[in-house]
Amino acid sequence: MRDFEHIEELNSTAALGLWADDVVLALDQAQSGGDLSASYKILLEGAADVLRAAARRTEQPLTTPRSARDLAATDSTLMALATMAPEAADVSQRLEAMAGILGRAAAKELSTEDAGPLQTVMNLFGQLGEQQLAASNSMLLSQKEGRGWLGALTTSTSC
Amino acid sequence: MAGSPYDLDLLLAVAREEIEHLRADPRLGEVQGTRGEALREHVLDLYAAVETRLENRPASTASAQVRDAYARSLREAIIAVQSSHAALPWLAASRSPRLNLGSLYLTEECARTLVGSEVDLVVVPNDRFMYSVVSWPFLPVVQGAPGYVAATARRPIVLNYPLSDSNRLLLHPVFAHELGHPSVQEHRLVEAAEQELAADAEFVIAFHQTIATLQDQFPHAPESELSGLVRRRLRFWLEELLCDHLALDFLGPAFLWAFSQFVMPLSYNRPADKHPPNTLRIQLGLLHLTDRGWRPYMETVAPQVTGWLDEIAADTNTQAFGPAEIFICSQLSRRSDVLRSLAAERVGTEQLDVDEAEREAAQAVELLQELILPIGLDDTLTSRAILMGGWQFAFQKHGDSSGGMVRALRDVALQELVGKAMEMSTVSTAWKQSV
Repeated sequence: MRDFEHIEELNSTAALGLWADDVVLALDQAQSGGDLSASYKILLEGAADVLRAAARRTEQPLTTPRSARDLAATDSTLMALATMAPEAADVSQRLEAMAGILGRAAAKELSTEDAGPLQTVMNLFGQLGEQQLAASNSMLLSQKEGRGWLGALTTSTSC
Repeated sequence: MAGSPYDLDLLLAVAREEIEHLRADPRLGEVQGTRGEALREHVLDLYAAVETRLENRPASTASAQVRDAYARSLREAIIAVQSSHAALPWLAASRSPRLNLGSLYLTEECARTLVGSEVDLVVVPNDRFMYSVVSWPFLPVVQGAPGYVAATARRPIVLNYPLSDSNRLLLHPVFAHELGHPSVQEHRLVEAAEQELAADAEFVIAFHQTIATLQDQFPHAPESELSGLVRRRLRFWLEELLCDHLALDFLGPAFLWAFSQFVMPLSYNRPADKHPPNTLRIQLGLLHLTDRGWRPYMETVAPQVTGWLDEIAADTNTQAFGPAEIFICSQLSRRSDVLRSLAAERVGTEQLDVDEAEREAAQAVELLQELILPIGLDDTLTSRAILMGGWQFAFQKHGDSSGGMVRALRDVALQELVGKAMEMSTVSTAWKQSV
């Protein structure tokens, strides 16, 4: 009993990947010192919120993200971070620090000291983009039961 | 290498070609009337949103990381565009609906009640034997395009039904459940249910205990992953049960009769990732109908079938379930009032009135017994009461048993008569409202 062609789940998975890659492009624009478009500013602020939500979940694992999208985004972020640095401690602090970088990028307040950490943030979102593209391809090829509880953003829709 | 000039040239060319090819498809042309209009606009929104991305090609001097991110985003965008091929048969179906017209009118009424007035309902026969629904299928990609403002405001809903069920009208109450999904999404009913449950100390304690049990079973899994697992399943199950409750409030027992015919041959007491066990669904459905005052009617018109449903409800047994399923089943059974109150709030004054529907259904039965179109003697009967009367008459004619219900579904003449009456009821009501 599945929804029609998993089309909603496929598009939700693709959208999360697009979002992650847009964050990389927006950070590049912020770093370049040129004008940051209003939509990129909103995007970076939203990305900072997701990282803060993910940090909260590592501190209080039983907290509930508000929506299915938030749950999927924070799950995927934590997974991407674990892939980048499997043994790293202080996950919550790292996420908060990265959220700070995103916030400063959105406000066009990046300093020269931010260059290294900014690269780490771009790597994180690049990793997230890779994960999502793999998931989209997997769904496309298999047309099977989405990604279980790790990725689907939308809801079940069959009887 | 990904993101190289050759790679980006390919991706941009493919994206443009796919969009151009799809836009040229005659099925994506102007629709006649309003059915399918919002769906078409939504598909066109997807293409326009993706096109805004095509303009953002990074300079050749950009870092490999940036070019790689752009290439990935184009690949995701192409996947989304290609997935819109699925919408072409939907749009074609909107031009020539094959569903019984009486049923289509009732389904449209149901969509307006459960979801809202701004909906575009497209009902599509499916070569798979499954009822399902898709709503705003491309919205995440459209909304995610930085700076793009969507043109579509009306919610497109695509309702799929088994091709062979076009005239099996007695099964069509299942549509009400499917329309529950966009209703739940539009009105954020899962979030509202979760909020109620989170304020319940007993629920919170049971949740913590479940996570602790899962940690014992999976010591290497992070706590946040385990809680995510339980939360996700809870949300899926909440949505399914809310859809059942919305359908019950709109259609009364006709939904439970149709639902039992459709799902019980598929599984019994088996939980699935996204669906609660059918035993629990029947149990909560019966509880809901009893709470609304339908029990005496059901016991009068179909005592054996009601007994059969009671038996299924009593078989809700979580012994073989995992900790997450046990937790969700027990808590949702305990707090089924949350589901009932949210459904009642949403359906509001459109909730099917027991006394009125029972009286009208009885009149429909009288007319059906004489093979007269059950549209009403003095006043026009409502479509919902005619449908309920159709089921009631089917029990008389084909037997008050699960087997009798199956025989009723084979009674094409009865279902055509019921469908024609529902169609006339809608036309007559609309005409009266217009004068």
